[in-house]
Formats: sequence, structure tokens, C-alpha cells
Amino acid sequence: MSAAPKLNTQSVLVDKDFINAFVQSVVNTHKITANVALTPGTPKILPKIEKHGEVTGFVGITSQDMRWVLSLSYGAESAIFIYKTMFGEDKAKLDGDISDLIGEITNQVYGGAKSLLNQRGFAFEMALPTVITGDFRTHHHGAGVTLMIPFDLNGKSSAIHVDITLEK
Amino acid sequence: MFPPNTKFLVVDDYSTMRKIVKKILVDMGYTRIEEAEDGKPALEKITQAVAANDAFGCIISDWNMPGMTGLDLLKAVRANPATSKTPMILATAEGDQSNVVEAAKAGVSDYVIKPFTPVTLTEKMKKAYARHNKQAA
Repeated sequence: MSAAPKLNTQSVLVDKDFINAFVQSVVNTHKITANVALTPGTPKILPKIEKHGEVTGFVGITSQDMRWVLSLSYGAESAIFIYKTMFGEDKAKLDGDISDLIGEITNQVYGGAKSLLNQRGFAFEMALPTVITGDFRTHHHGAGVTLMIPFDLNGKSSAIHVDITLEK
Repeated sequence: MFPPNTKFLVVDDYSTMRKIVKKILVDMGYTRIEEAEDGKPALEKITQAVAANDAFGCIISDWNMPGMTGLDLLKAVRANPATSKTPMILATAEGDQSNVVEAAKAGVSDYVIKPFTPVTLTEKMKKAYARHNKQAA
């Protein structure tokens, strides 16, 4: 394993390898676990995390002296579509089963990206995700910069948003 | 491979993963499948099954769970003479080499990294069964 690259708050969110680790993990997880194909769009840097959908999986991450939040946001239609593709069950609305699914996908996406980045010498720690359905507000302390990556699903543009927010 | 009447315990804090693993097992023809949402209730089920003389033939557990982790469950299973030889596969989204080493030291039968396909889990189950049968022979 190579020496841990020193993370830089100004550059890490535009680091190609850093972004690709998350893109690769998002696509891989959805393909293998959920049997759906996602197409990544163009990443954007936003001044703060924005609410994108109706159900969001969050996981807090620490690496070196930095603190992050990874979030995966789905519109209700997209989350219901993924659940139906996986289990063949049509849901009329979001429920606990779908929240559970988004939590597990968030867990797998983080685990996959963590493995890829730790092979490069990063030191991301284990973490457990939480899922929020409906509205939420965020409060930032410190840097509060977000890398947002949209993904197309089943012909729907920007159906899923992945946000990586640097909190400290 | 595990005989058709093998009793499985699937442990994961996410019902989604329990459903996925259970579906794979059912598609393979297995019917005796129980679930637990954490290491603690899993350990209770394992103890009760031994007491009822109907022990689990294979445990498939998540690693990263909020109450009792899969690794701690593995250590508890290996520490009990009645279950020390039970095949146990750990599933985790954390594919770091240090995790693999830690699980191997604790006596894991095999290790599967999420996300995984039915084919991957089947291969891991075959290896776990072969390993334990070789030990028993």
C-alpha cells in the first residue's frame, strides 16, 4: 500500500480518482445488487448539499482530520422502480422496505468507494448509514462544500443524486 | 455442497440483504432458512437451536451491524464447543485486506464482499462446505 495522500480541502472534491471511486461504486452496486443500469452525468460543485428527492441515504465519513457526508437521493418513482426490479413487488408509495433498500445501497456504495480509496492509501473508517424519507435541512460547519454527481436511470435524467459534502 | 435439508441462519440489520440472501438460498432449493437482524438475536437463535438438537448447518452474516457485529458473532460461535465447527460466511461492504485478515484469524469459513451475485455466494458456500468437510474427515 502506498503512503496516504494528504487530503486537501480545496482539491480533493475535484480529484479524478476520488470522484471515479464513488462513480464506480454507485454504478457497480446498482448493477449487481439492484440489477439496474445507471449512467453518470457531469459532476458539479455546489456551495451546500441540496435536497434532490424524496428518500435519501446518508453516511458520515471520517478520513484523516476531515469529516464528510455521503448522501444518495432518489425520487419516489426511481426508488419504487428499483425495489420492483429487485423483488418484483410494486409499491404504491415509499415505505419502510424501500428505506431499508436505500440504506443498504448506501452502505454498499460507501463500502465499495472506501475499499477503492483505501487501496490508494486513504484511511476511511467503517460507518453505518441512516435513511431519511421526506424533507430535511442541513447545517454546515466549516467548509460545507458539496460535490454532486447526477445519475440517469431507465431513461430518466438525473434520477439519482450522489452528494459528497465536505463538512470539515 | 450443503445438503438440501441444511438449516441456514441469515443475519443482517437490513431486511433487504436478508431478502436477497434468502432468495438465493430458496432458488438453490433450500427451505430451512431463519433470519436475525443483529448478532445478539442471532446468537440466541444459535444457542436455542443447539439446545433443541437442531443446530444451524450454515450461518451467513453481515459484518457491520449496530448491536453485535458479525465478527463478534463469529468469535462467539467459534468459542462455543457446540458450534465451533459450524460453517460461517461473513458478508460485508468493507473489502479491505485488514478485514479479511481479521476475519481469517477469527476462523471465518469464507468471506463475501457486497455487492455479490448469486453465483459468487454459491461459490463461497461450496468452498465453506468443502473446507469444513475436509476438516471433519
